[in-house]
Amino acid sequence: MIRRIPAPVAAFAAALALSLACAGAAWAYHTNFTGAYCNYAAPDYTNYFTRDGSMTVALRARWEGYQWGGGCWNDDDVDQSPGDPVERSDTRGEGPDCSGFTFKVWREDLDTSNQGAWQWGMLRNVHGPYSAASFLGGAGAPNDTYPKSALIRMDALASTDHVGMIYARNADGSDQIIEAKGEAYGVNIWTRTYRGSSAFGGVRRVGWDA
Amino acid sequence: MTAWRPAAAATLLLAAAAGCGGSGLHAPDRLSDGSTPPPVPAVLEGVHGAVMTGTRVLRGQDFEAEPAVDCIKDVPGGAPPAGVEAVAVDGHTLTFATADRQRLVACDGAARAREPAGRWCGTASTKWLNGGRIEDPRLDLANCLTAGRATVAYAWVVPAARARWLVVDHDHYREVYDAGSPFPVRVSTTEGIDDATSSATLHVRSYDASGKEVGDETVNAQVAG
Amino acid sequence: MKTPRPSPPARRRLRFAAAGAAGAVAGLAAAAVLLLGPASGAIGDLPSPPALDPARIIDATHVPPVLTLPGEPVTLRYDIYCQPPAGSAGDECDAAGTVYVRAGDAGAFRPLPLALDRRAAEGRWAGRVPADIARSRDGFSYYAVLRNRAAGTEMTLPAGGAAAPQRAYAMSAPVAVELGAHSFGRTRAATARPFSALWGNGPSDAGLEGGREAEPVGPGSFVVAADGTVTVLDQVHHRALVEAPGARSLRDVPLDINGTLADLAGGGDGPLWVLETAGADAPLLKEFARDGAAQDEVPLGERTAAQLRLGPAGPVVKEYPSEEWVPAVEDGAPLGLRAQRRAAEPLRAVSATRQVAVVRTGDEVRVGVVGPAGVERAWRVHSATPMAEVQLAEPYADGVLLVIRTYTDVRGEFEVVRLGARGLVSSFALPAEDWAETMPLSRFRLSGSSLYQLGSNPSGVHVDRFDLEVRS
Repeated sequence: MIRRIPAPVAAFAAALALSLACAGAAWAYHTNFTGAYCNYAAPDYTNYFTRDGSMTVALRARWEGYQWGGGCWNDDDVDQSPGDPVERSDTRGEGPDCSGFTFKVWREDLDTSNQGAWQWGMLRNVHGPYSAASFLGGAGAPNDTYPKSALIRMDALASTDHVGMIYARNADGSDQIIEAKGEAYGVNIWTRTYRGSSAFGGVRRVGWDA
Repeated sequence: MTAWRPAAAATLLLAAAAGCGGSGLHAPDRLSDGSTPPPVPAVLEGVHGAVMTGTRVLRGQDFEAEPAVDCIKDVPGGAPPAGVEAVAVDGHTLTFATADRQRLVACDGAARAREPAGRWCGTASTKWLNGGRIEDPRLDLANCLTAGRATVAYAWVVPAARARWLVVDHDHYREVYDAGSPFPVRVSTTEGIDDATSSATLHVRSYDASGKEVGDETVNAQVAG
Repeated sequence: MKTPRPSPPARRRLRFAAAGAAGAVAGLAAAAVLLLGPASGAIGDLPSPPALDPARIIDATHVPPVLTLPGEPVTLRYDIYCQPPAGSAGDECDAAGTVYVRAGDAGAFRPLPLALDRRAAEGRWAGRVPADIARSRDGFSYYAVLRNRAAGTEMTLPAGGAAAPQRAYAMSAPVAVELGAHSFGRTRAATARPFSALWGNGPSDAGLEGGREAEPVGPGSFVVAADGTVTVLDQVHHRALVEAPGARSLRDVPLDINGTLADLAGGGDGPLWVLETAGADAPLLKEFARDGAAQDEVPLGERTAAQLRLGPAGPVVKEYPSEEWVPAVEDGAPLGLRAQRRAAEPLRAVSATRQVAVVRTGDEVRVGVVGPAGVERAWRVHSATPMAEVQLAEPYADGVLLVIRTYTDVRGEFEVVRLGARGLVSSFALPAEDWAETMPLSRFRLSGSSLYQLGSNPSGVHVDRFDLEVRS
């Protein structure tokens, strides 16, 4: 005897399956790293901040992901949100974008008139008020434009679209840059030739103690 | 009976009616450059508390004069074919596409700047895709201030299809922008800014040439990139 | 009066609708849990995110002197990065280091403790090379061991340590070359354009890595065969584009690569080598046959791989922080990480017995051709206009051909400098043509007596040829 599925049961199952399918598709799109792990804790003011110290902040972001408009990561050397759609700032993925990364590594204040240094937690979701174009223009009290030929480690090279910080200079005149490069790249250190490119200008964070 | 009481009451009533404007809205009588706002288009008479922004199309030699020349001096490819200058209540912007039409560039201006920055206190740039789409509003709130030192934020808004006018809702007035150029409209605001998240929220409505509303959206812009 | 009950068919429809609504609600609830995760508030406290111990981090940077002048005092400088000790109010790590240095290539290394130079903005850990070693006609070799004293972690730089130390060579009589101030805007036109492609996704188009994130990224690299065949790495489209002289169209060679910025070596009759510099497995060297068939993969050991070249013995990769050329293959077989470290060389071999040494220091570029007995020829090239990277340094005729980026804060061009036994033979400028990003040091190739440049503009990408021997 063929047993028929009662219509209400079939309706329930179909609706449940459809909703879960939509949820699955949405889950693949939104990894919700920021929702799961990040916070809005207050930063710690620091009255002594150094290029060395900011380097350490930056190094903890190596191998983490990239998120347009983003600003939190967890230092497990894994991009928790690979393949986020690049045109969306609301996908809640792991990692900073290039300007958010610079803001956090340079330990800047949300108040653009304040050049003091604030230690932001890795999981503190903050981007900051500066875009790459803002850094290029030296906008904000902590940022100054600077001659490219005089840039040293933990200075930055910025264009209208991108900003990266000098990690080291190389013997051949190129630079190692630590940067949040893009969704396919995440955050890491690469050799670049931004310094000689007319698209890039020099930026220095003011107020280093060393 | 004192004769003045009915007159006083009438005066009070008239003052109240004028002050309310029907909805608590009051259009400013000056733009950010001190100029008088142009008349609001007749088809938008139904938009209470509306103030019209000043719009000018720039071509050719217009880019050789201030303030435009200061805006384009570092743009590759030299002077663009055309640009749109918009003078709003709090902000003043110049938007243009680069000569190769690959990028959209804006210079943002206001009464003051936190840090001295020349004639323009801010800038924004984005890829300009086919069909005029942009990938991001390129919110700028880093450096520009009103005379009263309030932060001015700028963002590009793409008007709805067939839009001729774009209206930005402010707390006490409605700001009308000319949306007739091929470029997204660079709007400015001192409201809806969240410093903690470096973001701004704007409510915008699009109107077609006959004054019919064709779009209504809330734009959530965040500093990024 | 009772409310009339719905008819049986109506009751069935009501049950169906109610069941469907219940299913949808259940599904939406599941979606909320999946989308919002523990932050939905209905689940409990935020989970602890996975994180590695920050004490594991230790890195260092160092710019080797490479070429030294007679009697020139040499101070070796390093920056050491590690996490400050837990509970420390300081911002810097508790670092220390020792450099082991010796004259020439043989003999015992002498330990030289590094001291913190607080006045320096960079290269703060410093050690002065003893004068007897610095003055050695054979130059000197060295390596450093750098430590996080609080965590007990350490690293060796270069990574191969005593087995593959860094090297400084003494220039006995370098020829001085004065370029003066660069005149921008007076660039040479190309002799020919053997390759061009528009941006796009068609069969003959070059891929452009778009999106909002950064400057446009185009083909990362190229090679030129002896017969003039140009092979461009179109990594965005996961392929190489090959244009042979006289060919009617481009040939498409599919490659199994991850599509991020990458370097290219090989071609011609041999395999193609691709250096992937980004991605979970990077840096990674991949070998492909001429038809694109994957042959092998060689993981590389250091954190940053900057260049790939084909040396006399196979592919070599410039890696950092060691700043050495690391062979990836020996006798056709991939080298393991330990073997790579031990086989690393401070200079790039240009023949079985010759290497080229280049260092940009201050306002000059020092160049040397190094043979078995040391520096055979050397030059000091000075420019009044700032110089950025040396894009190319290859033996040419009786000297060296250099391509150096010269720049101001708003302009940039390349200066091609031909050096001979007596100094400057000729020089000319080339436009930057750098609208799209490439691998940083892969914009130029020298083949025979022609210089090739990978360039781009908003329309597309091209390779231009500049013949160096102009016959009147």
